[in-house]
Amino acid sequence: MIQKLLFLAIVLTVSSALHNPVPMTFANSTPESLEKSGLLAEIENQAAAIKSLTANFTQIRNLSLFSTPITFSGRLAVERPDRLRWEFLQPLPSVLIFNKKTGQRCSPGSDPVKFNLHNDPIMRMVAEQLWTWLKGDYGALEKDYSIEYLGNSTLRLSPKIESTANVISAITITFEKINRQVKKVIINEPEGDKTVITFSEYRLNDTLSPSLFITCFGLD
Amino acid sequence: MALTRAKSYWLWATALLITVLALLLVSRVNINDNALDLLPGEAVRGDLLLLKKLGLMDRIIITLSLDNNSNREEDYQALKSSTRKLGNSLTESPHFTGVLYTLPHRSEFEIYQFIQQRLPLYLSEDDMVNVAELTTDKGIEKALLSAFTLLNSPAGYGMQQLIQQDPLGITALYLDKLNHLRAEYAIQVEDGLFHSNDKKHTLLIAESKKGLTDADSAREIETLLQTIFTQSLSPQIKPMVIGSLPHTLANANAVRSDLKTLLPLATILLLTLLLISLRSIKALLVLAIPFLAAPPAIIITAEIYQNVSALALGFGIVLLGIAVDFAIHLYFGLASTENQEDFLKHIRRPILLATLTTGSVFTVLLFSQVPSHRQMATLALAGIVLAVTYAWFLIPSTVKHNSISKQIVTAPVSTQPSTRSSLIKIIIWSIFIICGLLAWPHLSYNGNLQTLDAPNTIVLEDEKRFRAIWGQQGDQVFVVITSNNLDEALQRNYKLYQYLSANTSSFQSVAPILPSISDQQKNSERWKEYWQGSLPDFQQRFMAKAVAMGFSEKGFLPFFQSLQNLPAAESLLDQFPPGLKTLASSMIRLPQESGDQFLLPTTLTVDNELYSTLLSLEKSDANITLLANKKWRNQVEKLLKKDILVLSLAAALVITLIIVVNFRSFCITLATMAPVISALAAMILFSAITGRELNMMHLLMGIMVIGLAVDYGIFVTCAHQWQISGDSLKAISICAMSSLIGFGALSLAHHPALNSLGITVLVGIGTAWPTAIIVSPAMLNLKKGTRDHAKA
Repeated sequence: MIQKLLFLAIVLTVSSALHNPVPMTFANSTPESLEKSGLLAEIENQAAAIKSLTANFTQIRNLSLFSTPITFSGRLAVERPDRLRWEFLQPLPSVLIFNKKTGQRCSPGSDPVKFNLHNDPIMRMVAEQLWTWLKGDYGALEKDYSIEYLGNSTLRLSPKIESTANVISAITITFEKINRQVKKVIINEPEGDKTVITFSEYRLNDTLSPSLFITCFGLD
Repeated sequence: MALTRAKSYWLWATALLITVLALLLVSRVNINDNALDLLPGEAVRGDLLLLKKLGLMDRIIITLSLDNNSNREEDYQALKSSTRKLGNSLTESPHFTGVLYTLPHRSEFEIYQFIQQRLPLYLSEDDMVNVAELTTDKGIEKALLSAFTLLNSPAGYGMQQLIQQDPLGITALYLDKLNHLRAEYAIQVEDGLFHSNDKKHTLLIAESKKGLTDADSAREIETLLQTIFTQSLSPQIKPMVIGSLPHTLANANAVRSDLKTLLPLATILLLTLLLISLRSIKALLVLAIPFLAAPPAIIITAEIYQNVSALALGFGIVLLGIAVDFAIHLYFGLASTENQEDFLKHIRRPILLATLTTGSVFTVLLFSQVPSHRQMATLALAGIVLAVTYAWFLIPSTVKHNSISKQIVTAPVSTQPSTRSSLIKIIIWSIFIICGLLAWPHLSYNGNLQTLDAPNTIVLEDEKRFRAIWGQQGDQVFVVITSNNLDEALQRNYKLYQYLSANTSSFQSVAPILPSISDQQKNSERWKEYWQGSLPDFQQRFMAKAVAMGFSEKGFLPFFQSLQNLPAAESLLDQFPPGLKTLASSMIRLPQESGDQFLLPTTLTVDNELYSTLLSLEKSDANITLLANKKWRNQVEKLLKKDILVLSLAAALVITLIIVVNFRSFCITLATMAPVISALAAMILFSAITGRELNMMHLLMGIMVIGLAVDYGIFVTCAHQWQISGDSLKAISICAMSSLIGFGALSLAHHPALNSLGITVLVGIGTAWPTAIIVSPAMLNLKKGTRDHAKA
């Protein structure tokens, strides 16, 4: 009787082990979560070593308000932790600069529109969004975003804060396999609108001129 | 009359009993100050009561500052958290209301949406001209390019819906007008809090539920605030309060501090004077007379006015000096005469005359337009009548005949100086009077209420610092629309707003966000008419350009639909989102807050031209009131001039009549009135030479001086005529010195109102006294000499 019970216990234990290849005590550490953690760690390590970067980008904006997707191309310059230049070159030049807590928006033929992040809630939100995928500190984002690993060096960020979710429903970021820089960003808005930005020709840790974050046009 | 000792004790016991009873009642008297009691005329008081109803007089403005100009991030965070804690504490306190320190989260978006959904109700005729500009081909191209660029930029996320609904940016055009919701302060809104430009200061505003012009309430609120500050603020954050509160406290403290110091000082000096001059411990009894009279006088005043102001009590110091005069004359006369009964028979008339003249003067003052003057006059009248009564019954019971040392008996009044020396004295006096008359047109009057204010250095420094931090420029005025009907008030307010928009840029008004229902209907009708005619053409041109730029054909359907939808005109106040409610709350008072009507103030800084226009506007519409320091100053100056002339003339006429009826001789009347004429001339000359401007307190004192100075003339004349006592001149001198002590003490007061009283009257009495003992006798001797010569 005891031998039968013991055999039953062994069989049951082995069965459960077969159906649950991961030991019970480690049920939360799925392969996906391990890969996500690993990817996040690599991204953060790379980001920590990079003080500045420049890149070209192509943006395809797919809005219901446009009859067809609109393509813009431009250049990005970042000096961590808080300086950023987002410059469109084609089809319509314009520049957006963030320099610590201030910034400006410029279009040719118009005076620059200066702003202060302390008292401009719209530009503050814009800055937060850009730094979300450019800062490199994705671990810290878990407070405000649910981060999901989709495989193939891709993360999906879903905002937890309602006010952000009203504007952006999800951000999908794909990273380069080698240098772990952002390769592609897909921004999904409610109602189905989508923006796809692809980055290329990265240059890392170059010395960037301070005027990049002060002057809009006429730098070339 | 010879009084038995027992009768004497009974009289004193009765007097003491009355005084003790009065003292017990005095402890229950409400001694308080209301700054409004210093104001003449119902118009000015009416305006200031309106300020009170607006909550402006009870407004407390708090600036929180980083200590030591710190630049550390943690200190900035401490400033923000302290501001929030303080704001919460004030909001939760039952003693404050209307607390303004933050804009709710997402206020900007909510306000934008609120306006955008109701554009047809808001846009005026001028606004539609701007809209027409936007709908031209150039306007459309510019708007579409701007929208296209924005939507493709990182700032475009989430902007699609806003642009779909309003691609022309009509809402943004209207939002500029919301600058008129901002106060004149240079404020940056950061994290919902009101910061200075350098971010080192934050601003909070609250309204006290207790009136801050009342000293007791002000003290209570001050204590509450200090407790809340201690509980809410981090150690490196310093608060600064401006508004009525520090002014009321400074005034109240100045008056009370002055009373505490000057009342004992005047008493000691007076006692010293009497002890030296009378050289008898019975000087204490003489001094006791005004002190016996004062408590019942205070009770009588309190019964009539429900309370007694500390300022009126301050005036009581002077009363000591006046009330003792009668006792001094009686004491001197009785103590230096053989026949006390005969003396009393003769002194009765001048004492009655003097009481009548002094009493008449204070009776005239009861007709002053300033409530505190009327209170002082009542106190003085009651005090003097009681002092005379006490003196008449108590002094004779105390004084033995011939008890004054022969050494202090002076030559009798009837000693004749030469005619030549009398003439010289009169001529010199006349020249002095002519100088006074010539100086009269050079006097200037200052109706500025701030001259009666007694802010201490700290209060003034704080106000200066406040202006430097928040950039407040110049004196502000308020134009207040009042009405029992909200829509009517909003209509008038909107008209005022339209006028001011065309004439000045710097004003604060709720009108841009709160048009009346009838104005909303007009605007809506105008909007409908405009689009009915132009929409098809506009839509065609717009879509052609939009499609060419890459926009979809159906993308702007919500916009074109909104151009045809008309929101219903309604009471917008009830629909405001929280942020707009917060901003509007300080710019509209509902009947439940004001006590009766809807009040809509517009705040602005004006130049002379605009000020004159606003004055005319006020005159043309009973529902418009202009509240301005300049206006009150002009009104007070007018009232002051009128009061000075009318009351001074009335006092002079009454006194002259009394003197003429009694003496029936021009020369004797002139001799009796000479001290009065000298006192007035001296005060005019002093003000003219020193460049001092006359204010309400000078009016009060001028009239009092008439009443005091004539007493000296009466006693000199009576002494001359009826040979009452050779010590009359001495008694007059002691009376004059006692008055000088009283007024001299006031001239040391810190409070400007009390100080004005003291200095000016010091000059007046200081001149009346030598006139009474030099010029009046000279006139009387000249007359007697002429009569004797004629007889001869």
